[in-house]
Amino acid sequence: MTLPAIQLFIVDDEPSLRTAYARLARSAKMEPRAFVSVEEFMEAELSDDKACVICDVRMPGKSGLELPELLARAGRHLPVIFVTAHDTPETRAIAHRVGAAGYFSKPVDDQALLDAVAWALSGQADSTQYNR
Amino acid sequence: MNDTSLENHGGGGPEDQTRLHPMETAYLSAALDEHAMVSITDRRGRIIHINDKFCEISQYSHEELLGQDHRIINSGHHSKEFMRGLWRALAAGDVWEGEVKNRAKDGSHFWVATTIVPFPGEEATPRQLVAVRTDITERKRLEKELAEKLRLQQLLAELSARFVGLPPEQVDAAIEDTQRLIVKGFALDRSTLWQETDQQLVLTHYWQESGWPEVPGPIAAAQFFPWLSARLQRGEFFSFSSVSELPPEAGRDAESFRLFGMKSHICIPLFASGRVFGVLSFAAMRTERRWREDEIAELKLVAQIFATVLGRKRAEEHAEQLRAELAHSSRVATLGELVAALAHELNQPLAGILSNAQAARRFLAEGTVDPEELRATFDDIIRDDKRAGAVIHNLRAMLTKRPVVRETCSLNELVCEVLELLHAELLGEHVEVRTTLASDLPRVAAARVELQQVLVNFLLNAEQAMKETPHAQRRIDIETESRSGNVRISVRDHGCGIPPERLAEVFAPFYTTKAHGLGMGLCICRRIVENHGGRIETCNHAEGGAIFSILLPATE
Repeated sequence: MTLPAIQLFIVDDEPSLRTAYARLARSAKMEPRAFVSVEEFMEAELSDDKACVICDVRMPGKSGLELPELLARAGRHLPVIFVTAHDTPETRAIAHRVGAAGYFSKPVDDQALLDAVAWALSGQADSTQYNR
Repeated sequence: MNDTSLENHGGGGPEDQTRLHPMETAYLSAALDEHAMVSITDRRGRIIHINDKFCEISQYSHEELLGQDHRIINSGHHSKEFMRGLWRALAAGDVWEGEVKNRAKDGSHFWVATTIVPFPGEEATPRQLVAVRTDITERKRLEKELAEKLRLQQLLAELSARFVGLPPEQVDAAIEDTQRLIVKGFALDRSTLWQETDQQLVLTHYWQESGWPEVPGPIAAAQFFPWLSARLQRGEFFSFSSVSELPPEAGRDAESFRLFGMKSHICIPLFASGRVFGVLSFAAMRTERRWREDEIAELKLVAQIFATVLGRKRAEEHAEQLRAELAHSSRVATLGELVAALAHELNQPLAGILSNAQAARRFLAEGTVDPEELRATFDDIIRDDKRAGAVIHNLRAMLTKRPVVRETCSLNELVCEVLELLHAELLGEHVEVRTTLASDLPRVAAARVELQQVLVNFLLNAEQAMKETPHAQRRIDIETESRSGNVRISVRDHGCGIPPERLAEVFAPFYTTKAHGLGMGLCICRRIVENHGGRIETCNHAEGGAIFSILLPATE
């Protein structure tokens, strides 16, 4: 018996990181899909079932921090975990306010990230989960 | 002596009544012997007669000289042409007159005013040569001394002019050359010039006659010359003809002077902006010598000229050092603004490396590893690691204070490097960058780090200028082009531009449109560009925004 795999949506403008995260997802038996920007992600036709987003913050075009609101407006319920190379108190506070399912600064440990994804999908996650 | 020859020579003279009696001839000969060196040689040039005066001055005995030719006293001083002229005249039967430098038996030299009279024989060659020489050694010495004195006077008179407008890099050589001329001119052995660095007197210029031991490098003056240093510190001049003249309290100094072999010494403090910064000294080491008042006055004048030149040079070096420090601190400050961006630049590859390595470990643990995937993973890790290394390398290059080296570099490459560095920063501010880089751009000789600094400054300024510009319109246009032997790079922002009345002062120190910051950035940029033989300019674009550009001479 095979449960449907968890989908991991990766939004990051950095190609090498998209590849690395995708690999990590596959190594954890998840199905990765990568996007270069918030805009591209929002335009894609996706099934949000058993899915979670890991999203960069600073990118060309829309900031990652705008994603939760865009999803909410589109009526989608997808947990968003931020992974940023630009960790500042302000970014952290905004991430918390927009209802992130997690917040990590790069580089992020695999186990911490995968745990966060599992938590987010088990419905137990809330925006209190913050890791550095 | 041969009377007939004298008669022959005088024979046919207009006044027969002047013909001498034998007695008078003898008197004349005796008087001549008192005054001059007399020698007679036969037609083969061998000496057949010499008088006592000749022996006395040449230091040879009659026996040593008779039968020899004159080469025995040849000093080798005169040229072949000089000697040939002499023999040609004599062979033609002419009297020869001239001043000749000869060598005595002990090797010393003497000068003689010489008259050689040929007495004809049966054939064309003279039968005998009679040479009369007057010792003029003393006169020659005085003449030489006078000539040296005059040369020295001229040197001193021209010294000041020599240093006016002399490029700084030629000053040191000119000082040492002057030291050489003075040591030669005053018949001294050594001249040294010491300058204070970190409370030590460091030897910076010197010249000495060959054969003396090298002058030691930095010396703790107060240790070897405590008494003298104290005097010099107070700006007092000092000289002695003999070490024994030093007062009892200068015992340590006297010991040092003897140790270093200085017999007579003169020490003149060097002043710049009212304080002593060094000392000029001259020493006689072979023999003791007196210092005449006029000599002391001349040497003081030399010291004053040196002090002026060196004082100016020191001030310039000091200013240059300050500028370098300022440039460095501005670089550090610029980097301060960049810390966030740099953290981003480093964290990106680090994040990639970590995720890739951890993914690989998971694949291995699962036993599901695909070799091709693993190879790709390692390739990515290696690439990201190198990228992180490059960021650190650039950072170190920008932060290091060591003097920057000029190399041939491409402005296009420079643009790309700087954009890489600022990628995250500009992205964060929603600034779009458009580049138009000339494909056949000549290279320039430049200190890469410095030009990077200029470009970073331009870009950060452009970014700042667009703070109030809507996101969608925030754009920087970078353009490179070749312009008749020059290379131009321009950076245009789409901000509010520079108020026309302030365009002229943009590159002045402390001009800034920013609320924060020292405003030194563009001033330093201008200095960097001008040091590269280039020009920095700014103007407003007709359609809005400011343009900053630099023009640099191409190397090709």
